[in-house]
Amino acid sequence: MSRRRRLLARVLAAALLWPAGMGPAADAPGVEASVVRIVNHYHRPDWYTPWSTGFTGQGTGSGFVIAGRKILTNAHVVSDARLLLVHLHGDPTPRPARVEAIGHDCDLALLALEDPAPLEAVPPLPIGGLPSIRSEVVTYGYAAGGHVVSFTAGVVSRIESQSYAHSGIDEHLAGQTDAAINPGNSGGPVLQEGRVVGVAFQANRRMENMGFFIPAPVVRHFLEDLEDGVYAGFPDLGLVAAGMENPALRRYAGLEAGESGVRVERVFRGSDGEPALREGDVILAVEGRPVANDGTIEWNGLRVGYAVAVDLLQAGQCAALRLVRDGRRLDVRVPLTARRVGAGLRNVYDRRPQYYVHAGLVFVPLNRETLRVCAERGGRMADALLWHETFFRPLEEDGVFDEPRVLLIRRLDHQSNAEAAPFLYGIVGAVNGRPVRTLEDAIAAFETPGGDQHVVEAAQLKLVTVLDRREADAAHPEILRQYGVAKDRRL
Amino acid sequence: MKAPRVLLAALALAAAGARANPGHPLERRIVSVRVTYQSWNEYRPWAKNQPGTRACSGLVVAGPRILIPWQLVEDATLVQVLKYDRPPRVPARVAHADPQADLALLAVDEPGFFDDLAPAPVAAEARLGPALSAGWRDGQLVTAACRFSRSVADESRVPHLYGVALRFVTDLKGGGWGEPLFSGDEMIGLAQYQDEDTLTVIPAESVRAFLDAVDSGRPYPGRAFFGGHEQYNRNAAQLAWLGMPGPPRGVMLRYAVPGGSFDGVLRERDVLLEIDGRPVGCEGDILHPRYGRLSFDVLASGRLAEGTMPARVFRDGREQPLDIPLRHLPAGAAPVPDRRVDAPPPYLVAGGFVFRELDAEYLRAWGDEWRDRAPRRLRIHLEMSGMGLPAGRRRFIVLSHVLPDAFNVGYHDLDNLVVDDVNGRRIESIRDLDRAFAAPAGEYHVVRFVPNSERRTVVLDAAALDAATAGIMEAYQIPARARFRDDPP
Repeated sequence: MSRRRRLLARVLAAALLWPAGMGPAADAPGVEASVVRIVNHYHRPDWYTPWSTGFTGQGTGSGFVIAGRKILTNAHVVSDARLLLVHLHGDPTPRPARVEAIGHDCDLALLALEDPAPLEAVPPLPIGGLPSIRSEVVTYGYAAGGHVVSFTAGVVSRIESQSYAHSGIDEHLAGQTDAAINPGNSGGPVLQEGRVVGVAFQANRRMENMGFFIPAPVVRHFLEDLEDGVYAGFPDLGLVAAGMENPALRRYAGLEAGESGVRVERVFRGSDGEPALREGDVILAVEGRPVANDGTIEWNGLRVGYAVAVDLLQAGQCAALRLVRDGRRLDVRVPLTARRVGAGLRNVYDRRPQYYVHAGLVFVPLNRETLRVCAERGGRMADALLWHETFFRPLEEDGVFDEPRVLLIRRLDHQSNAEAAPFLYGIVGAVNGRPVRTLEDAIAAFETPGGDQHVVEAAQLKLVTVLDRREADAAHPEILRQYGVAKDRRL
Repeated sequence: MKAPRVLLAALALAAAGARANPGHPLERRIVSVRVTYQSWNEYRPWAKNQPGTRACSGLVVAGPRILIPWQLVEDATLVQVLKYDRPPRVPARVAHADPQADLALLAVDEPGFFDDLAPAPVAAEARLGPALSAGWRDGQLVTAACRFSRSVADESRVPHLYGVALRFVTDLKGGGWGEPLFSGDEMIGLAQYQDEDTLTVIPAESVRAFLDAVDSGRPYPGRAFFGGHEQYNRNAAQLAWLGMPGPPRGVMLRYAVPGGSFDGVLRERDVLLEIDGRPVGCEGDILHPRYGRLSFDVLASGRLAEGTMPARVFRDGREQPLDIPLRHLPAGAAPVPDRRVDAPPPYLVAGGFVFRELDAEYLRAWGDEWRDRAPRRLRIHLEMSGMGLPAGRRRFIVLSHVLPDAFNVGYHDLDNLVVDDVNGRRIESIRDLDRAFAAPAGEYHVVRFVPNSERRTVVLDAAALDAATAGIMEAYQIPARARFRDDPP
């Protein structure tokens, strides 16, 4: 572990062990001082023109100071940052900051000021526990981009698992409150009795007076994960399980009176759950907590989905499950990793797009962003084929999610390729007879001497693009120059 | 009195064009047609939607019979015809129909109905000059000038057919309701629909082919359909790769739709060079003697599905002659049919589970924006079926929804899942489903869906199923447990 990481680990441990009673009360005058405004001058890539400058802009959000002179905020507040400026309460000087750690799966990020000295006078906010339902909370933040901290009060209406919009695929516990959470509030603390019980993070436009916060257990998980200096992410068993409310289903599964659980319907290949679980197993208990027939467990006085008990474990730990399999009761321990099936389909941040251009044909890896571009530009047919290939075929055929694939995303027109019939917006199956899964495969296929043509075959629909190899190779530098592509690849 | 909505809409849109003088010869050649129709409720497949009405024009042709676009009598429960747009309304019936060609013939059984009407001569082929459309509107014969604009290869709204459609610019407002177009005394086309000032017209040749086939007295074989998915061949490098000498020409076959004319005859990467004696261009075009450059697909639609059509392909490094057997592919041939064509949705209710065949009619029940709103996975099945891709099954049977009941508690929120097998029997039709439920796996019925992110397995108490089904049907007023397809695929 690097020195910087060890330091970070100690700082985080201190944040979690903050003694009770040391933080300011929610309505105490000092709370505002701990809440900061974050201005993110971001740079987002253009996935359709991956070599280009892309898009720049500015967004604002909130954050708050925690122990160790760090600032906690949402990942979406600081994603794709090129310049982060933190405005401390009552301080007219913007303070440059950097992202020390970011968890896109849980929409949390930890910042440090380039010069941490100004934070010495700022009281850190301690991380509290799970707020109870109907208890009062106060949210702090720079709503609507305002320059003065604002706060709103409300009650905790609900705590349950919810999709986290930032990544697009992850689901964790989330709290719901009627305290207003508006754009700009993101990353701000939700306080109760002087302790942070959540981090404001998203709203639902279809609901009025409802905002959502990341509750303290998820925040603590993020910070604990960072104790070794590396953010691993939330574990996941990688399965589909369904409730057993129907009595016939319970009898069929061999449950005895008084037993309840969920039936494993699918275990994804490559998942943490794969070695230990199989279809038809009934999960009776997770981490010693009985699973009800609706898939919930009792947890801190709440009924939450059984997966919460696994979600809040760390990679490297084991999940203890009690099962019914073929009429037998057995206990298994599932070693957890940071691997999450389908992670390749998360929204992409903080990454420069990879690409390869040859003779005007532009190849990119399949990910959520390139999938989106191709589905939008390619119309219904491309949308259907790509969604099928990406989301449904692995599910139906017991395939592996997140297999690398390459898309032919565009053609830069040139006389040498203009008459070719490229299958744009589709998955590449092979180039010059060699199977292609990665950009490296494509490059090797193009650059290996061979026949008189470059032949690019689609993985679907049996489409083929044929270029005259000599003409195409000769035109390649000219095409790059004409279209302002400085380099033909980024890997 | 509750006015028929569609009729009022049609009347409101009427006008423009000019009223013909009383006694105009066309008054005896065109009748008004009133159609009451009632489509099926796709969500409650045992029930029908509220009925509606259509008002349109019909052309008197030899027989005598009345010719109209088929789409106007789709789902008809009552068809009536009026002479001179005046009562009485006389019942008519659909005697012959070709939904893919969008043509139907009405017969009127009332003696003497045609006595003061005159069949219109149908031109051997459409003339591409000025034409006159005519139709009854509010008791008056309204005519409008039409100017030929262009010809297109049009995919029929009922697959599988690519026909020639003619576009005419007209000053008629709200047309496209079966108005015939005339050049001189002859009918040269039949208006299918209108978009702003442009009428889309079925050309006379298509009408003549339909009438001749019906009049032959032989079983109607339907129009031919090639069913090829091709790729342009305009790239010299592609030609070289295929080993084809000479300039770009022909189109390269990627795959053939099962059951189409090309199926089993053309091979992947064959280059179709010539068909029916016409050279095929490198973009799949042929030079039609009357309509100019059009997709070669229109050559099939002009022919009935009988006999063969000569072709030349480039295969294995040389040109070869082939005979293409002309085959008809019914609208319902695809694994996910785009249209059912006057047929109710097959379904089965078991223990409150409402199963039905997946088709585009079901997905359209999500409204005008169904392509965005209907379940994505089902839409993908439709799209892939439309592309002629192998589906791995003849039909998709879908759990549409569950009618909640104590028997199905725990499953009552399930919807829009594709059934994989029931009691170990693979399910590709409602009849398969019925048979599978007749043979439980011991004490249980085990329904398995195609893997999804929700639930794969449903287990039901076999001994209680029939009683539960009967009780649920009573509670939800379902008249019949199942409806099967007449022509199992």
